Amino acid sequence: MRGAHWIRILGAAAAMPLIALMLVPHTIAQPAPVPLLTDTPQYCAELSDEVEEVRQSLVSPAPPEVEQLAEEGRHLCAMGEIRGGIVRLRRAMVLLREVSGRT
Amino acid sequence: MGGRAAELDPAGPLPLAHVSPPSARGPAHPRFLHSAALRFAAIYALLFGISALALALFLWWETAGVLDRETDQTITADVQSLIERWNQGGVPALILTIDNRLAENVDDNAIYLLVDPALERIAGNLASWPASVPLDRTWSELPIERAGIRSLARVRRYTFPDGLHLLVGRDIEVRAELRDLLTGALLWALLVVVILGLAGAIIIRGLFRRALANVSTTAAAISAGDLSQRVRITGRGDEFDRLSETINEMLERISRLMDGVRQVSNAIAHDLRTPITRARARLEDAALHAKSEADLQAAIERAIADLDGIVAVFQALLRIAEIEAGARRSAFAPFDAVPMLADLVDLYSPVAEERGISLLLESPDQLPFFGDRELIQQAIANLLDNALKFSPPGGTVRLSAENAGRMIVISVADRGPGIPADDRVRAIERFYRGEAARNTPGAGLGLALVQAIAQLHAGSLSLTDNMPGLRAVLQLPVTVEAVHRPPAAAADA
Repeated sequence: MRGAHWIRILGAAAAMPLIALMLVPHTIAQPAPVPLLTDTPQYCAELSDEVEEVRQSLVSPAPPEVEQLAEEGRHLCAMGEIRGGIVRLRRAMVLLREVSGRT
Repeated sequence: MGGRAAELDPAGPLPLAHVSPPSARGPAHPRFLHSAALRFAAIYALLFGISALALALFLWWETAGVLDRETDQTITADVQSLIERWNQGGVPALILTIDNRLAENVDDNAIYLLVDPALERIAGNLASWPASVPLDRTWSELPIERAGIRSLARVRRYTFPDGLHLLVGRDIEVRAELRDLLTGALLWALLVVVILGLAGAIIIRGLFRRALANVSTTAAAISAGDLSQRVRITGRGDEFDRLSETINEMLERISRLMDGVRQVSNAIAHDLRTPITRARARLEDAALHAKSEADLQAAIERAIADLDGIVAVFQALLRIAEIEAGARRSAFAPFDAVPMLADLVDLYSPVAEERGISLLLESPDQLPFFGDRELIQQAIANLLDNALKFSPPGGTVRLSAENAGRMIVISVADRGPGIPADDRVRAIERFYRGEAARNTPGAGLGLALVQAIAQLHAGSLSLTDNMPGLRAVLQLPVTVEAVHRPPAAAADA
């Protein structure tokens, strides 16, 4: 049964690279990440001001959900939930652009 | 059964591998490389692995690949749109568009960066030009940090004619996680495939060895001297069963041939002992009891006649062997068989008349044939000789020939005692002497010679009941040469 013995050895040899491949992504050194400026409280404040500016520039009153989204966004940013706050402010901005585009 | 065959273990190493000399195997490779079973197992594992790999690549292409391609298309469309804005309104329009897109990026995944030729930031949501994105590369994967959390982005670089550099990308962390998940799953699946492939290979190897062990055990038993062994047939009707049947047929044929050789050897020993003993007895008798030189001379002549008979038997045997070996095939030529048959009738007519037997010839005007004329003539002469020998006085011997399609059929029919149906096949064997022939001269080689001549011409000899008597039928195929080279033309040439 020497053949079976060799098959076992070859099998183990074939499995090694696969196991190594699975470990590779966790061991390779990666470059330092670049911070995004749109995930900061400053950008949240800038976006909030921009939303307010666009809302005030409208001839007709803004839809109520705009105010609600903007308020939620500002509140979340104040609570430290920056990305959640920014997403709500962006939704408010999209709605305002649609309204301003219609008028 | 030999002891060696009894010791064989069907699941153990193949016996044939042990009896082969090492020199017959070529260069000295490791022993396991000489195993066909292992080769089949390796081929199975390889094919299984390749199939699994192809399936994994297809799955990858259809899942993670689709997501990657969609992301790239979105980024490319975004870059094209920004280039158009730059064309329409210059840098201010470009900055405004980038700011607006960031402000309306509900999916929270957009990445923009516009820098001047000195790589100073003008607009976008990246603080500076990343060191890991070279200016000469279009596509890059960029590690980013979002609110303290590490993430990954796919970005595309574009350089405007005025030297501004634009970077547009998408956060692909979720897709990257999905891709990693898929990669991990596929790699684990590949590991499972390797294990399954090896397990399958071991099973295939075992099945192969078990199937071959049956054949090799039988071969080892036969090589040890037990010719009665046959390969076991499982009844599944598969390739191994067909191989076993073929081997068994081959063994049967070898066995028959060996029986034939043994029978001929015995027949030679038996048939030659009588004339040799007789010649010896005559010479001894003459030596002891001859009263005159004339008596001695007569005894010597009788002994010479006996020895001539022995020599004739050997010559006949050698001739049959020569014909069976095909050595006479070079003497093949086209000829018309009808004149040859007429000559034979003329030759045997006096003998027939002497015994009161009518010898009749029935043949067409022409019978073109391609073969050895002398041998065919001898074959028919042997048949006529037998027919005349066993026909009773007043009987008829009929020699007939006809063209039956692509075959000429020559038959010699007599009204003698014939040969019982059970003995007709054996009557063609060397030294066969039927009951009716016990008291007639001959060595029992005539029909064997006819059979050998028929086989040399790819034909056959058959013996049938003439009711009463025997009908010997010689069937000889007419070859292309006989048709395309008529006897007359050949004779002219």
